[in-house]
Amino acid sequence: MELFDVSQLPLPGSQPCVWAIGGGKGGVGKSIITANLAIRLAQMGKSCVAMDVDLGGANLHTVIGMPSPDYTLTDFLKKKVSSLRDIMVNTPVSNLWLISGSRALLEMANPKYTQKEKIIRQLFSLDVDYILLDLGAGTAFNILDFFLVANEGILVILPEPTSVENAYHFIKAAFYRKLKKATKKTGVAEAVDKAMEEKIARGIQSPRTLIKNVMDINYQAGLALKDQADRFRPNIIINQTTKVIDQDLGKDISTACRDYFGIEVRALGNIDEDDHVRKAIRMKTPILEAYPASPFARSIYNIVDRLLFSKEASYDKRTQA
Amino acid sequence: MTNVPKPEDYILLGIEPDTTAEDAEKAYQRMKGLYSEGSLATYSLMNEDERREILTRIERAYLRISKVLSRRPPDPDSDDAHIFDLTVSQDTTGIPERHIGPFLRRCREDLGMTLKEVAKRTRIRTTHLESIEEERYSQLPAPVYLRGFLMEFARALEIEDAEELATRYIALMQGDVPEP
Repeated sequence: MELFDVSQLPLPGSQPCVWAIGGGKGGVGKSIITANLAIRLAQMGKSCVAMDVDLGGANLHTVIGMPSPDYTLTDFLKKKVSSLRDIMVNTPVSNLWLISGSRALLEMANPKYTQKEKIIRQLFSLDVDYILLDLGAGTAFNILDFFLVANEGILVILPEPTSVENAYHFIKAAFYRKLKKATKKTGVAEAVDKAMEEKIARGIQSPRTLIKNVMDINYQAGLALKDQADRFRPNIIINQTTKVIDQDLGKDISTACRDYFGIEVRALGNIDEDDHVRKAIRMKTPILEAYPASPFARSIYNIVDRLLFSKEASYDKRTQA
Repeated sequence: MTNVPKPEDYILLGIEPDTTAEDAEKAYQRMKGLYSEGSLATYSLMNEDERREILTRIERAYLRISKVLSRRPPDPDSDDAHIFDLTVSQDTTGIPERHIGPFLRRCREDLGMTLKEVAKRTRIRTTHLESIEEERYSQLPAPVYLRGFLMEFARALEIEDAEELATRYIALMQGDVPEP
């Protein structure tokens, strides 16, 4: 157990730290993990907002053990309220607030660019220590943008082929999105576009080969991309592991991303399949409160410790804008 | 010389240069498993060519590292049919059971030698060396001469058990070893 290092935590009055939890696939446990990471932070005395960005199928409130709140993101998007603060509701867990996405209309599942920018701008001005975003399934630009704007992007993966495949797709899509956004001003875009257009013709399969090809076209542009690749460091959690062979999956995916994409992916840990999760949901109580010593809970503590206190370099994404 | 480990070799296998031979072997087996055909972590990531390419890089990296660690090299018989075989051979010679021609070529390439250079050193004509590597049996001299060629060739490539290599090669050529 590492020592508690206060200097690593956000200072009072500074911007909140945003963790975005995604995963290419639905039903991998994003909401449960988001809720419980937030609860753990709240238990450690950090003021924390759990926010449901999964506008299509929001259920974060259920996992936290409360009914659907009266005010949700829908009210914000429909301009019934002007501030995210107005839809921050208390939860049964002290230090924890919820911004719910439930009751959102289906057409709201893809908010317009300006709405998304407004949400992001207001997020970083909330007066809390941490904001955890429960992202929806898929790789829509909106989801990727929330993932990229976060200080820590976390992917939840199940030890099964479809989930692993989706995770790679997500990592690749997020990375290209990041390159696209980062290269808008610098004039690198032209070289990237050119390389992307010739993607198939030149046999470009991965970010790694893309960067190599951009370097051939424009060396400086290639270097800029390399820098972006170095700063893109998503995290992964392997959820519902059951077999011994699953235990190395996170490390394996991390190695494969390094070799194949040229992207460092940090494996935060595994969460073994645990019946307590289902029991707690039926009790409508957060598992960290119902079963604080369960294997699931202990995995959550370890993952939070890793995110907070790990020596591994963590890039502050906000300074790159 | 290309047979000295490069920094990338250690990075690829995820080990430090001062690692023990045992840990290097473990890392190598792990990487081979990771990029094997049925691997959950990589099956959806890459196509067959890419998989083969990275497995070849792993083989070469470990070959170079294991030489420095004064351990026998891995079975470098990374021919398509065998590249995914994870079983560790009990054989201590480092010479594969079959496809010895391609094995010789890989050993030569790992030393960064051209056929001409080997020809100069062994005084065997390049056409013969090439036929040996390509396993063009019909173009090779009679076994009695071939044995000497093979042993010279193997010694030039710093293969320790040149005699065993020659014996296996000729046995394969004469069809003494049934296909599995």
